[in-house]
Amino acid sequence: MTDCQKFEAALADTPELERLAPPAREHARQCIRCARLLADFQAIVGQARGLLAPEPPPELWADIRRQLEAEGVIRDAAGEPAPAKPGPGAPLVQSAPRTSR
Amino acid sequence: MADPISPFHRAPKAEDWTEAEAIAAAQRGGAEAFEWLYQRHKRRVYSLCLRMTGNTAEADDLAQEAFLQLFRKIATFRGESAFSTWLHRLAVNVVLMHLRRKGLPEVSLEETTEPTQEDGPKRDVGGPDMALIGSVDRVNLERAIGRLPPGYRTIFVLHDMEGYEHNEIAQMMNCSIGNSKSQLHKARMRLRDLLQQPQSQGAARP
Ligand SMILES: [Zn+2]
Repeated sequence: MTDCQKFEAALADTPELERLAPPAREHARQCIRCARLLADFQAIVGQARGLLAPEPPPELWADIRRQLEAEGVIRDAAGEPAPAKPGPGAPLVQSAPRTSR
Repeated sequence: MADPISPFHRAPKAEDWTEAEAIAAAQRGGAEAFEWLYQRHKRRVYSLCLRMTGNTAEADDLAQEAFLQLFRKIATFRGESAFSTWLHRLAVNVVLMHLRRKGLPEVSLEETTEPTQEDGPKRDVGGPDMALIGSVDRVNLERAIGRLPPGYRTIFVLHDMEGYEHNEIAQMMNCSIGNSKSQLHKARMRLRDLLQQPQSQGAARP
């Protein structure tokens, strides 16, 4: 195994310079190819960790809820919060709050 | 807007719950508690599903399946591990099962498939000296991740985005730790190549 190959193997554990073992750090100081690889991997991984988590579609919860109710996993559907903004056609009856204990 | 309405206009609100309280309420079957847990964890679970599959329809189904499995089992949750750890591990398993059913290789067989560009001398665009530093933007990275072959994408998402260690990945994917490491290296190399391509090449290339 060449030093470059050893360096690449070490990168698989971490692309963070501080966490690399001293020989790998030393190699990155001497080998421009591996120094660039390190810098690129750091840029990629750093940016990947910062990617925003996308929102699921809003109807997903309704689907899950319906299924849980059908299966009896949700047994206390009345604990549902009142809609924040009742639409014009909203029912007049508001479910009373549960003090669930 | 403060609502000067009757005291029972709003239920005593779940906003103040701790996660442990929400879990306890869900174990009693309360709808609000399930929704609380869903809202808190939906993005991370959904993004895991989306990034591992690269497909929104599949991500919808898999995120739904992961939450359903979790909620069906919530009565058995005793808090030995963190709830989020439990949920995310379960979501990973749901996605991996799905990929297995689809027959997609989770881990490419060493060397035999996917000749990668580090095999050849030519990194045609940009030249071998081109470093990415400072030029990785989010949109390009998202696109490049989406273009990774499924096996590479899985390892990259699990290790570099979700923070799993190689020994955990090896266990989840039923491969060796060495295999997990070498796949990760190839995945990053592939991403680096994809990011070095001019964007106009877009998704046109296989
Ligand atoms: Zn080197």
